[in-house]
Amino acid sequence: MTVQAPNQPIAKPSMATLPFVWALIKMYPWPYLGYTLAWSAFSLLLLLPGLVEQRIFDRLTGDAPVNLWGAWSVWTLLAAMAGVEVMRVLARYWTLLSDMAFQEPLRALLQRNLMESVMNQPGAQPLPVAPGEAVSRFGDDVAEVKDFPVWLPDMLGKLLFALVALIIMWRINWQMTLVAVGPGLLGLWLAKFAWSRMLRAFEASALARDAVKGYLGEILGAVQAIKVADAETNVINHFQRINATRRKAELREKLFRNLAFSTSDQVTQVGIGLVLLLAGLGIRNGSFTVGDFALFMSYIWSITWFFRDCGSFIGDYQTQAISLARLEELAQAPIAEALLPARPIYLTQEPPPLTFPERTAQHRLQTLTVKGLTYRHPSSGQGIEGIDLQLQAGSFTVITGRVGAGKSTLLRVLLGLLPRTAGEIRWNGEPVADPATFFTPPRTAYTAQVPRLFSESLRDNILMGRSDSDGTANNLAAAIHAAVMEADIEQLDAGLDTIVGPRGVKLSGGQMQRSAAARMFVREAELLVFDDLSSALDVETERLLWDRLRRQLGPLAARPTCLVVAHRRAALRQADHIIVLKDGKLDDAGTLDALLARCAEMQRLWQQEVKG
Amino acid sequence: MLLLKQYIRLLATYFRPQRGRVALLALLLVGGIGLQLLNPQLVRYVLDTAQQGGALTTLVAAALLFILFGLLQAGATFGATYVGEAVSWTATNALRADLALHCLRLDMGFHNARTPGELIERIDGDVSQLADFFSQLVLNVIANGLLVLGVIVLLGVEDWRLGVAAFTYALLILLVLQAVQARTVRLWDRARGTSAALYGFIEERMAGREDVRANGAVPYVLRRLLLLQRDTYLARYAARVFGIFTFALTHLFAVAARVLALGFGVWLFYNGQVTVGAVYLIVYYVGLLQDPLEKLRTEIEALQHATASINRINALFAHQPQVPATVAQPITPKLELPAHPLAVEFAGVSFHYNDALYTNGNASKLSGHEQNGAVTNGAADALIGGDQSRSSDAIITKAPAVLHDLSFTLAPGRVLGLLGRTGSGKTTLTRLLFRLYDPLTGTIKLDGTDLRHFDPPTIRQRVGMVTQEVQLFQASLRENLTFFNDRVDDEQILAVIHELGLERWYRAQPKGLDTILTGGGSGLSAGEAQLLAFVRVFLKAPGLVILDEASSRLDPATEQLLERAIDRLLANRTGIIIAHRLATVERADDILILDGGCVVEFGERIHLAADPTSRFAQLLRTGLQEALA
Repeated sequence: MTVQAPNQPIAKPSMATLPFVWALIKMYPWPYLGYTLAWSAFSLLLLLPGLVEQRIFDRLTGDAPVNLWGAWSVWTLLAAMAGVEVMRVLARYWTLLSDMAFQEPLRALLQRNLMESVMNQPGAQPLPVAPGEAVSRFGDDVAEVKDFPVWLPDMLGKLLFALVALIIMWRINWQMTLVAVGPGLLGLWLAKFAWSRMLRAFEASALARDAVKGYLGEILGAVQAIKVADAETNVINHFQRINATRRKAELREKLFRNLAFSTSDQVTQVGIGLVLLLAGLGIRNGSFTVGDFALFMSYIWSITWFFRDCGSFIGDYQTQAISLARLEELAQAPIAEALLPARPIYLTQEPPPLTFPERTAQHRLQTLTVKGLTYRHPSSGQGIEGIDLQLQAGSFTVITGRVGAGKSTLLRVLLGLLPRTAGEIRWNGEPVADPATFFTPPRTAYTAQVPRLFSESLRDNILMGRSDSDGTANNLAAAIHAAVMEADIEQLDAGLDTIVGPRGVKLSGGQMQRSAAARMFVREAELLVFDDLSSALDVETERLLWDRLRRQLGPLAARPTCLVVAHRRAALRQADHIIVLKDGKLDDAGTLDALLARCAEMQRLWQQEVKG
Repeated sequence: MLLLKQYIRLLATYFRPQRGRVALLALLLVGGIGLQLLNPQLVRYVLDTAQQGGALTTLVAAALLFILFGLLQAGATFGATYVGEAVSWTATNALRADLALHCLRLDMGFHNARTPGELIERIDGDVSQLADFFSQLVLNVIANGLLVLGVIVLLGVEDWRLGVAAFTYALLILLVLQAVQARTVRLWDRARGTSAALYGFIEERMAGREDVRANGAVPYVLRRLLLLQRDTYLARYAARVFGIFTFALTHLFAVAARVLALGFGVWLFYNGQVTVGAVYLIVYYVGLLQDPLEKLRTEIEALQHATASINRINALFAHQPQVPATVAQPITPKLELPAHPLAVEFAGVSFHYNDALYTNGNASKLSGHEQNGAVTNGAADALIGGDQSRSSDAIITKAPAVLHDLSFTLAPGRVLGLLGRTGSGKTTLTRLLFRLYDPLTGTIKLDGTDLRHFDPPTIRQRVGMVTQEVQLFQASLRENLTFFNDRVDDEQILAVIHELGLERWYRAQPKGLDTILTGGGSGLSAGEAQLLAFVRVFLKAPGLVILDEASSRLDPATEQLLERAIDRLLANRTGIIIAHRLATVERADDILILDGGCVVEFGERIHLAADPTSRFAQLLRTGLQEALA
């Protein structure tokens, strides 16, 4: 039994935030520049309505100075105000278009690259994070890093506005400018304290939220046990305790969030009051006008935006490293190699059709030799130790052994689905450096013991991208027949077009295994690797499958070579060569008769299969 | 109206226990609005007084009052947000607990048809959607309505034409927003749908990496990803561009209103009807209209979202358990079970699941590991599922009879060894004993009384079960052992640990009973987890125990501990064991072999073993694994 490990901090990402942001900008520079210009225009245009309003009020009170546009009538000024706003709307539209042109391809690219990194990790090894968590990294963390670059023009626009506005106000009355914006800035400084507290409270509330979800998942997965123990009320009482903890954490976070975000608003309110007081005095003695007051009022709030968003900006900057580290952890490779390579993205067009490597002479299998193959499971230390084996072209080799003998592990390590600790693999005498990339069609294809079907049509599940046009239609029918799947498909409502998988029609365990076998057959590989078909097939079906496999897929000289984990007599009888594993080690190998004569483990296994 | 009634019922239920807080919330909201409406009047007063060279003291006093009101208003807004959150969390937590308890009380059939994930989405997801509903939504709709109304009235006070214009403007903008909203919602729903499809795709492919990689389908998966990304992009693009259209529309409306208000004010000023301060006041008020109107729209939209959640929650509440508390009128006083070992009697019991789903407790267990025992009957194909066991279960939609006319009796204190293949009905038989289901025909008697005369809790307090897979919680060892019952004191627990010989293991726990077990007890072997389940059962002191022995291999130390625990468990109790090892079978006094839900053989173990023609003797010869898998 283990004690819960404290939440481990994620390692630092291999790339700092700023170089990463710069790399993103360089990827799509023109939309980024467009966004910068559009947003700056949108921000600076916001200066004009205040100026216009000032003139209008000054004309009403007769304080208007005679200058370039002082002569404009109130009505002309009003029309100008409307015109400015129309321009702002146009600028906003431009902002949106360039924003999407920058962010959307980035999102797609990062997700695509991340997906490729994930798919290329050893397939039978669990991902570094839980599946639900991994999906949220695809969504939330990618969103987090892809929209950060946009902050910069955003802040630039707000800064430009604030600077120009401050200059205008300063020239009217510098003391009042200080009074107007001073309190707001002070408030922001105060809010900084709330910010750090909020971040801490945020972590606490995220933990509390996870605890609630986790506990709900546990009790909903244990309903029968709870009912049988008559523990419904007690379990809910505990649920309420966890809920109460979460309430406390969430309220705390909300409190600091409010403080962080509204302190400066509240203090700005004081600034406005002071401006009103001084303006009243100034208007009274003629040093200030109602128009000036209108201008001040129009600018005060917008100036604080820059300073207000500074907090979020800095906060977001700090979370960048966290998100990057989370992405890197999932990708299991340095960011620069995993996420940043520019690859084509197809947001509006159709991606090009797939191409598959032709089966050529160089793919032909003559011999597959394995020497000293070793794998130890990182936590349990179990695995396989120093396995040697040799496969001849066209042979049928069975790996057998008891539960936990390491049969599946052997297949997975051979195919690169688990990283080998030691050992050598040679294909036709040539060493294989990266088995995971090498052992794919047209060299090998594989059916897992518990295969996965995806939520798409059964046809797509079997073909997985092989199109009907390359003569596969024939192939497909043959593969389905060989997999003893044709009767099942007839029974499905939409036949091959039935949507299966977790969100579709549920197939039985045996149907799933046979679909996966068809998926393997259709790839016309040199070497077929099966992991224990019989775990969900009855004896009759299994025998039929071996029969058809030998007769139909192998009429030519190019009969596929088979490497099979099995323990039924039907499969053992087919075998040219049997490998017996015991406790992760090679116990014996040879033909069935030879093994039955000399190998105690084989005799035991054979005896158990009375009905096979 | 039906909708309104639902809102009111929900609010009444969960607001009543916190009436005081809700009243405070209402006060803060209304107070904040009043101050918001009052402040521009002060601005006008200051501007006009200054313009006309009025008294200095009143001018200063008005400005100071403005500052005070501003602070009060900010405080009220701040307070309202916080109190609203507090109210909302109390309400939603109560709702979560109510829903979770309701779900736990529903039949197993209900749970078998749903994944925990789905229910979490109801109990946490949908209820969280209601957080805003409880915190502010209803009150905010009222408050913003009041603010708009207040502005219209105050503008009307300045000039009746302004009041009418403001009213028309508010109405117009609400109508326009309402009109674009349906489309906005539809576009965003579509965008969300496409991105849900994208993330669903990513999740499934990540889970199936082994199949994808080894069959060379990585390029295929990436191409599909690109296609889905294209869908999400196009949907999002449409939604955002329409969003800009909405922005432009409301923004231009607001600009028009402002320009017109200013123009009208100027015209009134030139006509000598108003002061310059009033012109400013008019513009200020018109500006004040924009915000609550926008908020009203989003709040009405949020209410609609909440409605969808409310409907789903109500639908969940509408499910009722099918196993009634007691079939016959409960005899008063309530029937209790005696303290001595309980007799068990099955008379002509037949049963099949009505869940529209065939479920088998062992299915996932079986193919989760490599399984040597062959399952030879044809139906096995459909019974075994592996990781996707739920899916494989569901293929059989017409429920086959699981138990056929089952009759046997077990005298008090005797131990029954229950044998049979996967799917033979062993698990179902044990479920019936707990009244997780009632038999369709026939009767089951416990201590001579029909089970249906007992409340399920009465039975469950006196019948204990140790299953193959033991569910552990990420909670303290104490809570795991007592099932969160805090009335069990530590001495009791320690006594049981002592009795079962688990002290050495217990002493290795760093914080004793306060040690937190990791989720699912992942650090425990199946045997160790079973030992914890034994402690649970012992804390109940049952008169009948059911043991589904762990079928996985055990290390010798754990095996020894289990042997001892089983000895203690069966002492002076009636027992039913689903055995996987010969040693355990030999503890049984009687043997019952099931096949396809029928009794194949029932009798005393010693007699059956002695009779070479018996099925049991045959099993002993060929080995158990074949038959008991």
